Amino acid sequence: MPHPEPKLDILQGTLDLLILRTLVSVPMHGWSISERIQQISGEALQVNQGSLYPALHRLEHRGWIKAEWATSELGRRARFYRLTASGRRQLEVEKENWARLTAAIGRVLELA
Amino acid sequence: MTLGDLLLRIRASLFRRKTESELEEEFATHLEFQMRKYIDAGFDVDEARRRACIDFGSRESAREECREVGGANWVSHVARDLQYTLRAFRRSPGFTCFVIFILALGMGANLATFSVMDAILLRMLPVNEPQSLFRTVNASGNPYDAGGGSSYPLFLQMRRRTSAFADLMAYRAGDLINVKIGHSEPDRLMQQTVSGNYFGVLGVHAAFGRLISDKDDDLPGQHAIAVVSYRFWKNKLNNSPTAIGSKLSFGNRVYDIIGVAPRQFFGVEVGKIVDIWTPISMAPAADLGNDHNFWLRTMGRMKPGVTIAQAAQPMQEMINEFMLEDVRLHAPPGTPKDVIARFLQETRIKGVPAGGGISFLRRQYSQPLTIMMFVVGLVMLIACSNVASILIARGSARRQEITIRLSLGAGRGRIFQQLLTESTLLAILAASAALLVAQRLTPLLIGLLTPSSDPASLVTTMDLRLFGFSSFLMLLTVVLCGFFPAIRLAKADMYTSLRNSRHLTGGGGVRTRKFLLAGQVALTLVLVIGAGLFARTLVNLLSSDTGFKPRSVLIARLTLQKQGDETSSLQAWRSLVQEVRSFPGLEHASLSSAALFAGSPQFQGIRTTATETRPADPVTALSFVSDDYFSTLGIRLIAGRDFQTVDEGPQSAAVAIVNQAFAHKFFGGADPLGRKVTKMANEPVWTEIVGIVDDVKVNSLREAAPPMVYVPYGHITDWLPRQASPGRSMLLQVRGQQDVTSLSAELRRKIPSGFVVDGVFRQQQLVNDTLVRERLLANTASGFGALALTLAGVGLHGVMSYMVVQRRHELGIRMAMGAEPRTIMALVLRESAKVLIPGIILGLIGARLASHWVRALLYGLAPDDPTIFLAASILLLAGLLLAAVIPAIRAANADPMIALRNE
Repeated sequence: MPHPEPKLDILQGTLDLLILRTLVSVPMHGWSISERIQQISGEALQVNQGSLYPALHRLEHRGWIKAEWATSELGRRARFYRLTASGRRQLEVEKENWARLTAAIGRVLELA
Repeated sequence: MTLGDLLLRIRASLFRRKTESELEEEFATHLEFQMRKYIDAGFDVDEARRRACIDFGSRESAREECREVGGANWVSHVARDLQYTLRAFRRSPGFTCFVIFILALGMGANLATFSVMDAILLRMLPVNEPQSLFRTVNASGNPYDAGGGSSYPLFLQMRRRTSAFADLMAYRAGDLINVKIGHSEPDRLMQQTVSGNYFGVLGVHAAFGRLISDKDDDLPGQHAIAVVSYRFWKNKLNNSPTAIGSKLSFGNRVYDIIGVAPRQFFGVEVGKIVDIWTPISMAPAADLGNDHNFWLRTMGRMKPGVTIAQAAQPMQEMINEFMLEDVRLHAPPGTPKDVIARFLQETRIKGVPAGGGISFLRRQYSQPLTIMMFVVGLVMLIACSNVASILIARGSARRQEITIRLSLGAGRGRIFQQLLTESTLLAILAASAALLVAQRLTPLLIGLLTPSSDPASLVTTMDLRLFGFSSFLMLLTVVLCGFFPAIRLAKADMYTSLRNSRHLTGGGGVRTRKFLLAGQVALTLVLVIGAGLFARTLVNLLSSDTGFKPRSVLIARLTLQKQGDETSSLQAWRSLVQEVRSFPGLEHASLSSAALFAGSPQFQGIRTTATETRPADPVTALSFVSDDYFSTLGIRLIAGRDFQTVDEGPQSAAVAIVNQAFAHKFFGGADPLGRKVTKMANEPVWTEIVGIVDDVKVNSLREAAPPMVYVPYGHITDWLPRQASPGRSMLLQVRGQQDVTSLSAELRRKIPSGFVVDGVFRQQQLVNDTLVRERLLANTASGFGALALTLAGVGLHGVMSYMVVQRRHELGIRMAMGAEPRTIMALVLRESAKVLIPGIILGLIGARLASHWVRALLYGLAPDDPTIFLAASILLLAGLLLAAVIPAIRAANADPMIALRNE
């Protein structure tokens, strides 16, 4: 049953960026990604955990991440995602877009 | 969408259950991890599970979104769309049938025209590697001409020069003959005489038995064998395996069937389907030995790596040698060198590819067929724009439904997909119906193309190109009809649509529809003007002066059974004419060597005793006739006298009758009576001119009458030394007192038994047959023009009715404020004019361009004939305003109270 979540609803684009960034170093499965984003953002950004999976699948379809079944730390099978070459390229693109966006907003805030 | 995406989607659609379970497992693992986190923090198992589930959020929504992204839903989406669309169709069957009918008509016409075009212009012969076949044509002539003429001795010589080509074969043009199978009644079948290597060069193998080969060429008259076509074997021999060895009789001989040709093979002439092939050794010995009778046509296969020009080279050389020898032997001394040079120039040949076979149809019909393709293409565009307009109108009515869907969360992509399904399904249904339409229409079209006296047979089975074309048509229909309405609707603005009920019926749609309608009007005008131009051309041609009176003239082609010597033959023909003249119901009867409007007449270079300047090309047409010929055909005698029986005897003085064009060309203004003419070559036989007749058109109503010399048939050898005199075959023409159609059967019966009747035709039919093209174009353009006009009328009616309904409120207010019904009507008509005027202007411009393109086919009028342009525009305007009048009247008679109340 859906409960109203008192958390920041992250825009789809930024969620993609966060996922890509998280997968830069090692392959992870869905829960680890969600935990990691929460850790790094200092618990401020609480990803609606369920909405992570459509995002992951979408990225997989775009060819930016690749998935493989493997054994997880708990002993269960889990789907591990890792960044592809084009995913790495996309990450750079997204980072640049984000930087430009925040810079622009920053300028507006300063000037206004 | 990348390839990877596509593959994943396909996997998701195919392995649905596996994909679902994998997803469940992924979710389950995630929940377990989250639970573990809470358990480690001290919560008990149930609490940990509860918290983990809350953190995760709605599993169902995550599942659904993943499914959507994964593409597993695609199949169910399509299925659901189809169901919905079919339900919608069932709810309004009238609309559905109307749309499918219009589309099927448009697509079917296109398909039929294209398949005829394909059969005549594009298809390759069903032989081995058609692209390496070649033939030769006159260098200065039309590449569609038959060309490649050769005599048998010359062919044998050319065949020996095999440096540039692999092999050369020869054949005679297919002809209809009477054939008896066993002892039954004779059938009329297409027969072709071919050299031994005909099938070998083409690379065709027998379906059963064997085909004619080289060894059947050696002994003349000894190989009474025949190969039959597959169709013949199926229809006439009933697929019997014992057909090999059964007998056929024709031409006074009995032939053994030795084999059956493969199913698809019909010969090398497109437009004829050959039933029987016989070897060249069975041709008359006179033809085989005559090195001046160019009765054969040749076709060769090139060696790999050789160009067509190289392959034609040895043939050109041989023809040059032959011609030079001929000139040396037969040209009169003192013939100027430049005349000889020009004569040789005329015989230059060039090689052309022959993979497509030869067709008399191509020359005649390549332009008209292209025009027809254009016409049906226009009709298709009109039909599609009509349907698009209808779909937009219906779409606008569904606006409310769409906006509710959008507000409930449907993605715009899904809406678009569902709308497109409707037009795709319509296109598929229409395409299936179109195939049936095309199947009926194609033979009709072929029948229209060729004269009834010489119908063409074409192979129009489905091949790759046809299939590709019909798929293209279907795609075009979907895009033209469905795309734009679908996009428009899917982009609908939710808020204004729901709030403002007046806009429920969709405002913006009308503008697009008006735009489409203006385009339709333009296209329709182009068609109507085209119809006018072609119809007028036909009328002009039919009423043009031929110089003779073809009605009431019947022509019979007769062959003398027993060939005696010259005197007995002459006597036989003479007594035939006497006998025929005694038949009741006939006014005149005479003989001639050729009929008017049945092919080009014989042309020959001549010399005259004219002392004035000679024309640059001293060539005239020749006709060999009996006495009373001119009265039979209704040609006016202007001066001098007609031939008499006494002139026919070969011992009598040589006399001739000329026409006015001849007198003008060779004698300027002087009187030719009493002067003399003879053939250009050696051994002149000076012939005195004793009469002048009116000019007649000989082969085409468009071409001017050529200069003509008429000679008594008994004197044919004075002009054509190698011709038998008189010929075995001649034409008997008779003028009847009344209707000649009934006369035809009677004539057949009454012809004395010494003669075989090869055929009976009406002279008028021969003249009419030369107008097949013009008739085809006039009929098609008129028919489709009328169709287009109707569609445009229906479209305009629809748009105007719509507009009236939409502006009911405003019109109601106007009427309540005192506007007269007249004013309201004028308003509606004014709105119609706003669509019609730009359409007509555009149409006039388009028609001007199009008429310029077809000006070669017009006759007796300029391509921008203002009368026709004006008349067509007025017709269109009147017709369409009439269509708009109905909603106008309805608007004017509407009760303002009802209009105002109805929001």
